[in-house]
Amino acid sequence: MQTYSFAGSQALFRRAAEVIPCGIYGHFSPAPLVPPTSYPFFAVSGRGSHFTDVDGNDFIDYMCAYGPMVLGYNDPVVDEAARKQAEKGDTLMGASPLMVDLAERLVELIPFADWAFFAKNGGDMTTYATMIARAATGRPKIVAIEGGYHGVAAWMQGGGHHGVVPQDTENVIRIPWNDAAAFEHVLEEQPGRIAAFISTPYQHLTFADNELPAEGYWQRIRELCDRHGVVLILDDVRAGFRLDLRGSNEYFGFRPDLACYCKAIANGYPISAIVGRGELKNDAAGVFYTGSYWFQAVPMAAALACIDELQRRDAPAYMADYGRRLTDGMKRIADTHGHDLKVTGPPQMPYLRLTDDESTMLHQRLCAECTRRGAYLTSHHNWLVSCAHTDEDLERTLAIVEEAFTVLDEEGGT
Amino acid sequence: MSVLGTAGAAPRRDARYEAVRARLNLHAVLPGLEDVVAGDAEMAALVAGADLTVHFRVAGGPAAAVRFAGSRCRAWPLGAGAGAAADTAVRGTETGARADRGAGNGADRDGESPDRGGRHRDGEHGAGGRGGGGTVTLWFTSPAHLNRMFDGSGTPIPLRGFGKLGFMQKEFTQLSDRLAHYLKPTPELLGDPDYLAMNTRLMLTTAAFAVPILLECDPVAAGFRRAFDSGSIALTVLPDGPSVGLLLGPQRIVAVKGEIDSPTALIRMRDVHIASAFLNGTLDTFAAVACGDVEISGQLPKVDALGLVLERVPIYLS
Repeated sequence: MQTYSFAGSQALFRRAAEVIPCGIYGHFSPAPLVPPTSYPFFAVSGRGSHFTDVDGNDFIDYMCAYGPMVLGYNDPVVDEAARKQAEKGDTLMGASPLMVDLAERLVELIPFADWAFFAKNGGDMTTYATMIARAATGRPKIVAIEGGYHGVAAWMQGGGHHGVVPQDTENVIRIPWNDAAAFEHVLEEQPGRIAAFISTPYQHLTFADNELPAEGYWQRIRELCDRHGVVLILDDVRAGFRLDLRGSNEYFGFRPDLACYCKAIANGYPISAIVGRGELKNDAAGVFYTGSYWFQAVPMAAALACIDELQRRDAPAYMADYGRRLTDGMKRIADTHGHDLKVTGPPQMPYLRLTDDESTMLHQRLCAECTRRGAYLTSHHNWLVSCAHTDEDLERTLAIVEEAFTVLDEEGGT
Repeated sequence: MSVLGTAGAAPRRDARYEAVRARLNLHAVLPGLEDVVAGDAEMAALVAGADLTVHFRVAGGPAAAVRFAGSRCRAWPLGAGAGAAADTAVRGTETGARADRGAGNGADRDGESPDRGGRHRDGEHGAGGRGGGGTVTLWFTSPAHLNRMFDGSGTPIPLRGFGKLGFMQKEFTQLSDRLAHYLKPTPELLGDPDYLAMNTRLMLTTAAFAVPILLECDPVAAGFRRAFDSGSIALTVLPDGPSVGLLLGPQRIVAVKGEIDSPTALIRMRDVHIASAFLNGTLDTFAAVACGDVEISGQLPKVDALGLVLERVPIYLS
């Protein structure tokens, strides 16, 4: 099987590093890709479940651009809707009628939602959600989960990180995941001070097995929020529209007060959304929150088309089926090679880890060998599948995984 | 002495700051004398005839010892204690028993791994034995007093070993000045390969030995303690070293010189120039990793946390 080289990526990266901090920054930084020499850094095109890098290498993408790709790159239906709107106009001197259409669509789709609001990034919406909660309650504190990621604003980052001062995080209280008793303790310790509880629907940290909510956990959280007047914010930015089109809260059986979406909402067109209960609409209206490109019509057209397609294709079920077959196949291969491959998280977005090696270096090598052969896998983050992944992709992926394990066995060690 | 560049606005120099700084000076910086004697021929010749142990004792702690014997130098932390009683405990140490360092209170110079089973293989430049010779005890009335000495403006109170004060005033002062010289790089000095090699070695070991102290004493670094609950981290300058290791555990973290076996996280710097830039805080680390100038693997959250902890060093030592 051919193995790829990435000279073009490396050369372009060195140019980038001269004029861009980090070279490539943020979640696209190559730093967590181990080793970086086994990964492409720059993509030039995509179609369906595949993308092509600057060296001309073709990959089956199991990261989906870290989530936005859900129907396939350059999906013809979504792109056609976007193109038609682009011909009319995108950022104009007025909100687009599509904004109303999209808000009504989301309210119709998501059972608990009475209103919607749009921005660009997931972090725009999580920050807005906390501001709404503070406006509605008059309280300052936000309870979040240890390690929980809600974007890159200073309040969301951990203390001691670059550019974060204690005043940024002093109103954020972190508690363990799946520990409703800890939340209750905070509420008792800080009566009348907690504005919101914010969390992803399940625990999907990087570098760690994903953890689903324990039986009754969300129901207990809901009960505590009701009793203490705390706004329950669901950060559905990563999982939204993959587990359940009505929101991941429906998948896990609870009702939030606010829910934030981004990634899969428009198949890669830049838009995010927050939806909320009617009781919070006036509070949301009172918070001044806006952005230069938040009224773009093209992403709204794309989102409407994307949601329709997700429904038409029964996307969560398709992705769950593919994800199960992928991970079952990989586990079988791992077993035959004498390795234990642990799978956690929902099948649409699984996190895999070889447990044989505490250092994770073996797993890093596995993912690198797969990527060098055309199945783009990261070792630090949950994977994501899309409606564009096909049986052919699955067959090729499993062949790649088989060869990767063979290489690991031949090289030996960790 | 300054290490690892600068870190923004000067912090408030209150009692807590001085206490942390004193521990870093004694347990992370002072051990650099070992490397200077081992790697600088002039300094090795300077102390060649010495046979004594110097104790640094701060009222209420911390304390450290430096031994000169057989043309070598060895430094190690001492247990807490003050005055004569502590001095007696130190004699116990000198005869071979290791002072109990307690939980997470600093660096283990012998390279043994009390928790993780990592093995220290090379890189230790210890003095031959701990017995024999005389003892000089230098007393400091407070951590700030000790820090003033390291800054070049304070004078310790000698408690014993008055017969050896000549060595302290002459040879030891020259040796300390040379250590300070190596820890204050300029672009011009870094252009000298020998200086660059020594500066890099000292910066690397200072960084490693600072980690347990910061995780215990610095409120910001302490927030990352959980990342260091298990496993080990190896830092290596390619192709031929130096290397340091951190042996991690929930109760104690031990820094060692040299390579460690089977680290669970690895940081390898392409060469001494990259290592120098990394340790002096002038490297875009993300870009360097992507380019392969710095190789990281294993439990990356530990690597990330380590970087954030190390950034606290210049707050105390710049």
